[in-house]
Amino acid sequence: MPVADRFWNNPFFVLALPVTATSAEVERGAQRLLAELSIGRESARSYATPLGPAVRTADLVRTAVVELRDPARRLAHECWAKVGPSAPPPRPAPLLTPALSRQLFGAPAARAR
Amino acid sequence: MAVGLATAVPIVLLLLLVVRRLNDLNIQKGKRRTSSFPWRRALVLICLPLLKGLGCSDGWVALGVLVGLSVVFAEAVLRAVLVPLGMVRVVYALSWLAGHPERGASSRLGPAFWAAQALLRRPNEERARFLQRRLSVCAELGPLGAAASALIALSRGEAERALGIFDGLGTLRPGSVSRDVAALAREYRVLEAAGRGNWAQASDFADERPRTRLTRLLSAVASRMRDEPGRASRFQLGIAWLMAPARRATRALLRAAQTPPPAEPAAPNWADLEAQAWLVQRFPNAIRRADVAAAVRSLDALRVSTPWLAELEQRVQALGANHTDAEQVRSHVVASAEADLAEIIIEARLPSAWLPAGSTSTAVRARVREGRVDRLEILAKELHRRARLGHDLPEPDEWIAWGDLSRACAELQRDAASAADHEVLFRIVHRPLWSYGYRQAFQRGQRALGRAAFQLQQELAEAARAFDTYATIDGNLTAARQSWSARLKHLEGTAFCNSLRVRHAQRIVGGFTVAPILLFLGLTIASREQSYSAGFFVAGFVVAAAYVFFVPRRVVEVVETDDGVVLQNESQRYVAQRSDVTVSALSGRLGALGVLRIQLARTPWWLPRNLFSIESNAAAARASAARFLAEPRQAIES
Repeated sequence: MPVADRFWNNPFFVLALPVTATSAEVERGAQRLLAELSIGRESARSYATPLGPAVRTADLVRTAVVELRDPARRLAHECWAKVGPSAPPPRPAPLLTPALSRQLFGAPAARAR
Repeated sequence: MAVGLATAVPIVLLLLLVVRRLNDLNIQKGKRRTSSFPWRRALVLICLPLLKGLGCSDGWVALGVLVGLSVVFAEAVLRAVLVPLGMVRVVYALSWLAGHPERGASSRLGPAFWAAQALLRRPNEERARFLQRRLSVCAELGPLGAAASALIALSRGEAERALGIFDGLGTLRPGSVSRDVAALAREYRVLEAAGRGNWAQASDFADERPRTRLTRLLSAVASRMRDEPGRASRFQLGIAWLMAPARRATRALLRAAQTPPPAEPAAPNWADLEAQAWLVQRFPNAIRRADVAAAVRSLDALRVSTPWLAELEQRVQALGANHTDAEQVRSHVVASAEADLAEIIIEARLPSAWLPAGSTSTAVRARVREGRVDRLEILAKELHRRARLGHDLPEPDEWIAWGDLSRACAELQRDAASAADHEVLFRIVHRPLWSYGYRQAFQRGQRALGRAAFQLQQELAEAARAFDTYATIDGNLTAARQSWSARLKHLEGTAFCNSLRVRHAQRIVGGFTVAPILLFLGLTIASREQSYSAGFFVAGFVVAAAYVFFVPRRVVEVVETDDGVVLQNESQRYVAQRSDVTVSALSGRLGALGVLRIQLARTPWWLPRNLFSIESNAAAARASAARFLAEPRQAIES
C-alpha cells in the first residue's frame, strides 16, 4: 500500500464520519453519500484528509463501508483517522522555476522522478 | 612568390598534422585536454609573420589576425558566441579547434558534445537528427557521447531520459570522466533537485566535485534554505551570486535565500500518528532529519503507551468485538507505521543514519536494509542476465541502468555499519559486476562503462576486504583502462581471411610508409633548387600525407570469436558486434586478387569504417564473404 493511502483512503475521512460513529451511522452516511454522488451534488465530490482535500467516488464509499464492517480493521483505521485534517503546514512553492532552470541550463529540469 | 606560398602551405599543414598527432598522443596518455605544447599559439605565431613576409596586404593580415585569435581562443569563442547562438552545424564543424574534451574519445564525440550544447539553445529536430547520426557511427559513446545524447534528449523534451543519463554519469569517479561532462551532469542534477524543492539533495550534489560557478551559488542557496548549522553567510551568498552566470535571472533566488522563510515547526512527537502524517505530507522532497526523528519517537511512545492501549480496549468493548485483542491491534498499527516509515526512507533515498536509537529504529532500519538489498539484487541480477545472454541496450540506456545499480550500491554502502554489511553487499554484486564489466569493456568495447563497473567492484572488494579478488579486479581494470586492445600475435576463432597473407600485406604496406616520407623530403630539397614546379611539390605532399595517415591501418585480419568479430590492423585490435560488420568480396574488380571489403556501422575513433582484408584468391574471397553472410556464430553462454 502506498504510504499516503492510509490517509487518502481512510474510511472515516471518505465517509466524513467521526471515529465514534456507530455501525448504523456508517451505513446511513454511506447511503446518503452514494445518493448525493448519484445526483452529482458538488459538496459530496470531495472530502478532507490530513494531506489535503481528495476526490470522493462511489467505489471509495462502498470500499469504506466494507472496511468498517470488520471490527479489527475498523480499529486500525480509527487509529489513523485520529490525525486531524491538514495537520502539517503547507509547503512553499519551489524557488527554482522551470523558466529559471531553462535560463541557467538551456532546458527546464525534469520534474518529480 | 608562388614557390614561397607553395613551400609555406605544406610546411604549415605538416606542422598542423604533427602537433595534432602529438596532441592526440598526449590525450591518449591521460593528460589534460590540451597538450603541454601550445600548438595553436605556435601555429598562429608562425602563420601571421609568414603572411606579412609573403607580401599580403594589410586586409589579409587583419583577417589572419582575426582567424588566429579565434584559433587561439577557440574554446572561449565556442562557449561565448557560437554555442549561445545555437549554431549546431558551425559548432560541429569548428569545435575540433577547441581540442578533445575527453581523452581517448572519438574525434566525432567532442564536436557532437559541443554541438549538442548549441542544440539545447535552439532546439530543432532536424539538427537533433544530424547529431544523432554522427553519434550512431561511434563504436563507443563513453561519457562524452552519453552526455551529448542526454542533451539531445533534453532538446526533444525528454527530460526524464536526460536525467537518467546524467544520473549514470554522476556516479563516475573523478578522473574517469572529463571535467566538462562531470560539471554538466552535476549542474543538471543540482537544478533538478532544486526545482523539486529538495534542497538537501541539491546541496549534496552541489558539494561534489567538480564545482562550477552555478553549483557554488546553488550550494550557498541550499545551505540557507535548509536552515541548518554551517549555512553560508549573506556575504558568502553574495559572492557566490556575483561569480555565478545569469545574475539578473538569479536575483530572485538571491533575495529569497538572503531572507529564508522562518523555520518550520518540528513535527509533534507525542504518542500518536500525527508525526507520520507530517512525514507523508513532506514526502519525498522536503523531509528533514527532525521529522524522521519525531516520527520514530512517536512510534516508540505508542508502542508502550498504556492510555492508548486502554483506549483501544475500550473501543473493542464498544464495538462488541470480543474476539479482537487490543494488543494485536496496537502491534498491527505500529507495524504498518514502521513499514510506511521504511518505505518513505527508501523512496526518498534518505540515509538510515537519520533514524535515532530505539526499538522502532531497529525495526525500521532492518526493513530499509531489506528493501534496499532486494532492489539491489533485482538490478544486479538483471545486469548479470543481460551480460550473460548478450541482451545489450543502446549505450545511453546502459548508462541509465548503470546509474540505477550504482546508486542502489551507494545507498547500501552509506548505510553499512559493519564489515558484515560490506561483505553482504560485495557478495550480491561481485559476479554481476564482473560479467557486466567484462561484457561492456571487452566484448562490446564500451570501455567507460566497463571501467565504471570494475572500479565499483574494486571499491566494494576493498571495503569487504575480499583479498582474493584484488588481483583479478585490478587486472580487469588495467585492461579496461587501455584506450584500445593491443594486437594479438595469434587470433583464435573462425577466420574470414588468409591471416598469413594479411600479415605479409601489413608488413609490405607498413614498409611503404617510409617511402612517401622519403619522397616528400626529396621533393623538399629538390624544390629549393627550383628543379620541380610548386604544383608537383604540393601534389607529392598530399599523396605522402594521405598514404601515411589513411592506408596502413585499413588492412585488417578478420576473425570471428565468441567475443564478436575481431578486426586487427598492424598495431591495434577491435572487437565489433556482428551486426555492425558487412563483408563483401572485391574480387570482380581486382581480377584474381582475393580482396575483401569490410564495412563497419560503428567504429572506434582510431579505426576507419571501410577496411580491407586479403584471401588466397578471388574464389576464396567470394566464399569467405558468403560464409560470413550465411553462418552467424552462436553466442556461447559462459
